Order: sequence, then structure tokens, then C-alpha cells
Amino acid sequence: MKPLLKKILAPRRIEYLEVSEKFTIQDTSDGVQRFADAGQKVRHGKDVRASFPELVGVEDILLEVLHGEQPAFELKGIARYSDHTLPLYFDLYAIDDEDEDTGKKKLMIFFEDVTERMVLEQTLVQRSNEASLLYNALASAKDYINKIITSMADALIVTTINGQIKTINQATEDLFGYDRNELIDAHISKIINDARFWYNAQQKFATPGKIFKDIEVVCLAKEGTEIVVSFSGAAINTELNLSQELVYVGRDVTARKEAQKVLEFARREAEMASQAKSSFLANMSHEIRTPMHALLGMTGLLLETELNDEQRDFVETIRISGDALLSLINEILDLSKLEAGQMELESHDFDLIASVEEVVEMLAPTAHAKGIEIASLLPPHLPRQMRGDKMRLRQIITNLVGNGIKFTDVGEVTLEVTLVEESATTARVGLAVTDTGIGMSPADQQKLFQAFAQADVSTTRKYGGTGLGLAICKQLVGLMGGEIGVESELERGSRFWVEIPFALSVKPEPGATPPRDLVGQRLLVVDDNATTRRVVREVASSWGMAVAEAATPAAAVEVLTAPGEPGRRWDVLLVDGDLGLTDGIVWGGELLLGMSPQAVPGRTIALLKSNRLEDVKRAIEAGFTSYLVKPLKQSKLLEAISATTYPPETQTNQTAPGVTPSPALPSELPAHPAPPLPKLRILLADDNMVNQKVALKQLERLGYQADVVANGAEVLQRLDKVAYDIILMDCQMPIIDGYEATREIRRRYQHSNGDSGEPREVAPNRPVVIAMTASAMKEDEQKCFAAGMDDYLSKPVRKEQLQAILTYWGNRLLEG
Amino acid sequence: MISKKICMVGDFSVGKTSLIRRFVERQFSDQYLSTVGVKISRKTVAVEANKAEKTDVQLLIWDLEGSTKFKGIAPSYLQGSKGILVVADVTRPDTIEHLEDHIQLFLSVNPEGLIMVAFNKSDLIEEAKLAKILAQYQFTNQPKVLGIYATSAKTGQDVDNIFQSLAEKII
Ligand SMILES: Nc1nc2c(ncn2[C@@H]2O[C@H](COP(=O)(O)OP(=O)(O)OP(=O)(O)O)[C@@H](O)[C@H]2O)c(=O)[nH]1
Ligand SMILES: [Mg+2]
Repeated sequence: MKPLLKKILAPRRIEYLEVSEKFTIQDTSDGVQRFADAGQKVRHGKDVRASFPELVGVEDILLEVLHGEQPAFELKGIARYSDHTLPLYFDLYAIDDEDEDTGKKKLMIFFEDVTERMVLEQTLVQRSNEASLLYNALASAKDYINKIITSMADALIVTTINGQIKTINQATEDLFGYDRNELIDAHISKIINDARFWYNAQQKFATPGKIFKDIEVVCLAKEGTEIVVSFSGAAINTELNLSQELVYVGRDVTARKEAQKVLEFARREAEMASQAKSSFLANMSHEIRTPMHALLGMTGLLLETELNDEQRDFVETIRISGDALLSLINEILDLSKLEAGQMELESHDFDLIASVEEVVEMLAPTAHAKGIEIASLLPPHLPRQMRGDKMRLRQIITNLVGNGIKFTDVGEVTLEVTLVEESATTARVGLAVTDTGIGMSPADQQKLFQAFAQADVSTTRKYGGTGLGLAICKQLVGLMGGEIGVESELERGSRFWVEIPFALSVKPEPGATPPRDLVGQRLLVVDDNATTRRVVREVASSWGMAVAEAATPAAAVEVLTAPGEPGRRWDVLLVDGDLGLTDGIVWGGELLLGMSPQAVPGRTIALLKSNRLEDVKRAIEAGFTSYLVKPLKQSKLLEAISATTYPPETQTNQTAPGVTPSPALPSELPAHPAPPLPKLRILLADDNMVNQKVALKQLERLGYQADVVANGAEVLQRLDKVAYDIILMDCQMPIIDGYEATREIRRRYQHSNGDSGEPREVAPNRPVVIAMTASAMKEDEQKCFAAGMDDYLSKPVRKEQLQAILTYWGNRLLEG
Repeated sequence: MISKKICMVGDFSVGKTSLIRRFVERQFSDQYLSTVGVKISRKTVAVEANKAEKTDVQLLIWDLEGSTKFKGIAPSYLQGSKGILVVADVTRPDTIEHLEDHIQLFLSVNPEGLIMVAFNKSDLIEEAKLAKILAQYQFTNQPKVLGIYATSAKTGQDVDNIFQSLAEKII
């Protein structure tokens, strides 16, 4: 190497080697060692590849250079790590040269330190690569999000706060039928035409973080169809331009809405059908009641005319069938109301004992006609004053007791009332109706309380009835919060029980203090019916009496002739009129006759069946001081036992002239004949000829006369001429109906009255309007009063009701 | 002892340096330090030359600067290389796409050179995804591709194997 060259190269940190054709080192610059591979000494005669491994593999090229076939060989940026700190970088050049002395070809290899440049370059590359990686990561993250957005089934829309659409996904295009370029930059109102969804500062979702959820909007698709879309959305703050954007995510719920609509429609249909059914039934009841009214009314009148036995029998049958039909209609009406959940219970104070006794008393004639006993067992200390729906309770009892009577041919039907539970404010009352009838198999008992499933078809044929009664009872009891059940044994009888909770009335219990003087008195009851004896025993002992019982005349004699007895006085003697084979009245009369005068009891009472009222006379004649009609009522029993005045009321009051044989019992008849009827001017308005006739006949028999018109218009015309006291007004009439006519009457008499406020306050000369309607529904009653009618009669109108209502209003008119 | 030059070729940051480090120093670092220029590492491996007779071969492994959008691989580095490990990062699809280019470049310099493909960072993706990639990139049109490996410099998975088999092929 020329010294000159060395001088030039050294300051530029360029080192060199001279290498032979065999790659052996022949000369080196002083500092070349630092470029050599770690730990490899650069020495003369050594293979250059040991210290510079980058030359391995490229020997061919180096030789080409050496032979001048290639201008040069270079490798740039070779890194050398002497230790693990900073690397040394160098570029390597190889060119050919000729030995000045020998002329031999050789390679000159130069090493230039480029560390500075490479370190700088490394920094740049590092940065650039890291940026690329970051960009890649971002791009793939964005790609990922985009993939999610596009593949989302829900439509996604991003707008500026001004509503300009910035981003949409495929689902949005599909949903609204627009192309991407039709929507991008368009206003959101193009698809969501609902201002609630556009930006406005008050809007909740304008606040970042707040979202709105599932708001349904009707949107317009491109081809004009309406679609219902459920939108959720939020405002987002974008970092880049510090402005807000709104994100909407919408889901097509048109199908769901449609399904909902179909469902809703079906529901409405069903509702309407059920309403239709209910009003159909109500109408039916109206339509049926109108002719029934005529039928029953006419039948009643017919029965009062001269009839031979056969005719009477026919008419009687018509009346019974009519009654049955009417109650059937009522039952069906009740049941349909119950099943439609339209039955509403009333809540009034009522007397439990009186209610029970009334029902049993009402049904007694039927039982007695069949030759069976009927009794109610009421424990002496039962609370009496309850609050609840008395009418429905009576309906339940009537049904159960009526059933008992229906299915019993021999024996008795008893209704026993018990107090199941009592608190300060409520009482749970148990009612059990026990009969000695045909009973039921367990299988039949299961079907009992279902509508239209009477236990046995053959039973239906034999005993009649719809079997609806028990279904109604069950529903009613359920409505009242109670329970109902049955225990029964074939051929032995059945026991139906209900338990119903009632509120206790705040009204004080009537002071049930029995007369003191009964305490210690001696009572003998002679009756072959054990229940009757039990009733008497329980009640009388509770009053402090000493009670003896006898089931037969023989047993009675035994009691009376027991040691110490003959001649001793009994205070009360009760004798059943029907002692099986013995006639109790005859026997009782003879017994009394045979007694020593001082031994004859103070009160001798004959117990009579309700269908044997002709026995009253016989009993009195036989020497009884009074009589009681079965079933025994506590109050009546007490009255009879503690009575001091005798002879008791006779039967003479029973039939007032012109009055049908009353279903009322002799002991309850008023002591005086009805007072003379006030002269009333009555106008009857009814469009139905038969109804007119029936009502007129009834009025006539009650001793009234009436004018007749056929519609509301005629009513008003007549009123101009005649000042009527009372108008009996049918509600449904042509031209002007009863309601309208009544309203007009009210209007006309308003001025003379001054104020028209209270519907029952009668203006001096305003006629009293009494509605007569064939609808039995409670709503109708209210409708009548709302129209200004004063009172209400439900058809078929019974003569007794008519009489009662006319008497009431007649008296009020008289009083002024 | 014979020495053989092989090169690590591939996009930047696919793990070329890491694979060498794992193979030579049995180490791994999560840090990324871009390679600039070239660095040569040595590793002696025993290979079965011909008839069951083992010989030692010194591998001179050239760690090249990764290719980027801005700068490709300098062909001069590839001169005299008996084979390459062409490396891709399985988490970056574009690095896989570029494998073909790298192979082309290498063969243009060394038509007789041998090639091993390393799908690196295989520890980062699920087995199923990996299987899908391997099935998709078989390089059946490249007779010089003699082996395809799913490697991981991090876990060492198939790192020794890929170097070892390249060494055996180039002998
Ligand atoms: N999880 C995981 N990370 C790896 C693997 N191989 C490399 N890396 C990481 O990937 C990054 C890049 O690795 P390098 O080995 O530097 O990549 P390179 O191919 O040499 O990169 P250039 O030198 O720029 O071409 C580093 O952060 C490594 O830790 C691997 O198998 N698994
Ligand atoms: Mg590297």
C-alpha cells in the first residue's frame, strides 16, 4: 500500500486489507482489527473469511472482481457487536489491484465506519416501522369495527349534530331501500321523519353518555312503504374535530308490530264477541221476560177465575213451568255475568239469622208438600249483624236447600249455621245443608260444581233442573272469598257446606236477652223429628228452660207419668201435628183433656207444617193455646213460649177480600185489614197489548183504575189534559221511549218545583213515574233513576209488588 | 468445518431477529428493535451428511433489514446464500402475502437456493386459524420451498426444526 494512500484514508476512518487470490491476508491498515468479527485476529497469511464471515459464499464474485471482470463488490451496513452494547456499522468495498513489485493480482478491501449514519438510520426505520405497525393495528381495528357494523343486522346511522348522515351500514341500505350514495350527506329526515330524533339541545340524548332506547318510529322507505323501526341512540363526542355526532341503531319491528296488531285484533274480536254474548244474553233475558211477564200475569189472573179441576190443573202447570223458566233465565244470566267477571257484589248490613230463616221458611212449603221436614239450626250465640251481599247469600242458601229438597223424598233437610272463626271485625260463617236424599257417587260429586254438568243424565230427567245452580253457587262463594264443598253417600244423603267470610256490621247486636221469667220453666216437646226436638232443646235451654223431649206419644206419656210427675205442672208443651202414624192434634187434645186442671201447661203449642194450615183451626179447637208453623224460627218460638195472652190470634185476618191466598204465613199476617185505597189517577204506558191487559187486570183486582197509552208521546199528550198521580211507564216504547218521556215530564214540572235536584222528591203536581221494565239488569235500574223515574218495577210484575208500590206512593201523595 | 450462508428474509417486524436470537442464544424479548443493515450470527449444527454420518456445519445466519413499503431487500445481501428462511407474521396478512415476492427475489439472485417458510408468531392465534393459513399457503408452485413451519420465537415452537432442516437441505 502506498504510503500516500494510507495518509489519505486514515483520517476518514477507512481501513483496508490486501487479500490474495487465495483469500489470504497480505497487508492491513493499522486499525482494521476493529472491523473484524468478534475475537478474530487479523494477521498476515490468515484466511480473510475467518475474520470477515460476510465474505463466505461470495468468493466467486470476489474472484471476478479480482480478475477485473467486475468493477467492484460492496456490502453496506454490516453490524458488529463486540459486546452487547452499541454496534459498529461499516460498509465494505472490494476492488482489484496489482502488486507493484510482482504484478500479481490482489483484492483491496476497504472498511468504512458508518456507525453514525446507521444509528441515525436505525432510529428513522424504527420510527417508521412502529408507525406502520400502529397504522396497521388501527386499520385492522377499524376494519374489524367496520366488519361488525356492516354485518350487523341492525341499521346503523351516524349523523352530524345537524342531522347530516355521515355513516351508514349495509343494513340501513337494505332496510330503507336506498343506495349508500343516496343517503350519505343527506339529512336524516329523509328516512326518519320525526323531529324527536333530530338534534336539539334539550334532548336527553344530546348529552354524551345518555342514550335513548327502543323508541319506535314509523319510517318511510324509498319506495314509500311504512316501516316501524325501533331506534336506540346516543350522542358521541368525536376527538378529531371536537364536535358531536349522533349514532342511531334501528331495528325493523314492522313484523313484530304486525304480529302485535293481529294479536290485538284477535283480542278485540274475542272481547267484542264476549261483549256481544253478554249483551245478547241480556237482550234475550229482556225478550224472554216480556212474554213471560204476560204469561205469568195472565196465568195468575186465570187462576182467580172460575175453573174446573182439570182447567185449574192445566193453568197451575203453566204457572209452575213459567216460574221454572224464569228462574232458569235468571240462572243463565247470572252465570254468564259471573263467568264474564261482571258480577259485582254489594255490601250492606244484614241480619244473618233472619236471612237464613227467611230462606228456609220460603222453601218450607215445598218440603212439606213432599212430606219431608225442614229446619234451620242456629246456635244461640251466633253474631247476627253482618256486612255483605245478602241477596247473593240468600241465593246460595236457596240453591243448596232447594237442591236438598229436590233430591230428598223421605226424611228431612236441615240447614245448620256455625261460626267457624271470628275476629274483632270479621266472622267466617259456615252453612251446611244436610239432606237424607238419594246422595251421590264420588264420581258424580266431582262434576257437581261445573256448569252444564249435572251429576247424572237420568237424574236430570227425574228431578229436573239445569244443574246451573251449583255452578253459580261455587262462583258466588268464590267471589265472596269463601269455599264450597260436598260430602255424600249414595242412598244416604248429601251434605253441602260453604264457608264465607263476612265483615261484622258496626251496628250493635240486638240485645238478645231472653225473658228472665223463662229461667227454670219446664218444657216438653213431642215430635218424631229429631232435628225439630234439637232446635227446641238448644234454643229453650239457652233461655234457661228445662227441656224434656219425646219422639212418640208413648214416650211422652212415659215422661208425664214418671215418678213424681203426675200432677206436676209443665209450663210449655209443644206437640207436632204430625206424629207419624198418630195425628198429633187429636192426640194432644185428648192429652190436655185428661190432665188435671192444675197440671195443664200454661202454653200448649201445636207445631204445624206449612202446607197444613187448615190444621190451625183444628188445633185451637182441640185446646192448644197457640201454634207455630215449621220451620221453627227462634223469634217466633220465643214469642210463643213467653206469650201470656191467649187465646192467640186467630186465622180470621188471613183472607182479605180480593186478595189471593197469600204465601205469607198466618202468624205473620197483619192484624188489621189493609186500609182503604187512596183514589189514584193512574196512567199506564206500554206498547205491548198483552202487557197492557195484564197490568190493567192486576190494577183492577187491586181496586184501581187506569188509563192506557202506547208510547211516550201519548203520555205527554195525555198529561196536558189530565193531572195523573202515577204513571206506570214501560221503558222500551216506540216514538218516545220511557226514559225520554220521563225526562220531558221532569223538564215540564221543573219550574213549578223550583229545583229538580233529588229524583225522589216529588214536585207538588208532578206525576210519580214508576218504571216497568223487562230487563232485570241492575244497570237498567240505574238508567231509570238517571232518567228521573221515581221507582222501579221489574217485569214480570207480581200483583203484590204492584200493590206495595202503589200503596207506598199513594200514601206519600196523600201526605203531600 | 464448512460454513454456509443463509438469510432471514421477510417484512419488517415479522420476527426474523427474534428467531435467530431464539435459535442462537435461546432467548426472547418482547421489545422490538428494527434491524438496519445486516448482522451475521454463527451457529454450528450437526447434520447428517449422506450416509448416516454426522458432520458439523457452521451456519452463517444473515439477519437482514426487514422490507417495508419504502425500502425493499437489497439483493446484494442475498448473494452466495445457500438458502433462506422467509418469514411472515401470522397476525399480519400482508406479511404473508409478501412471502411470494421475497421468494421471487431470492430465486432471482440464487436460482438454486433453498427455501423454508416460517409462519411466525404462531403463539398469537388459535390453532384453527393457523391450520387454515397453513392449508391456504402450500407454495406448491415453488419447488424450492422445502418446508413450511408455524414457528414461534416466543415459545421456541419449531425454531430449531426449521433451522435444522434448512441446514440439512443445503449440505
Ligand atoms: N408473540 C410473539 N412475538 C414475537 C414473535 N417473534 C417476534 N415477536 C415480536 O415481534 C416484534 C418484532 O420482532 P423482530 O424479531 O424484531 O422482527 P424482525 O423481523 O427482526 O423485524 P425487522 O428487523 O424490523 O425486520 C418484537 O416485538 C418481538 O418480540 C413470536 O413468535 N411470538
Ligand atoms: Mg430484525
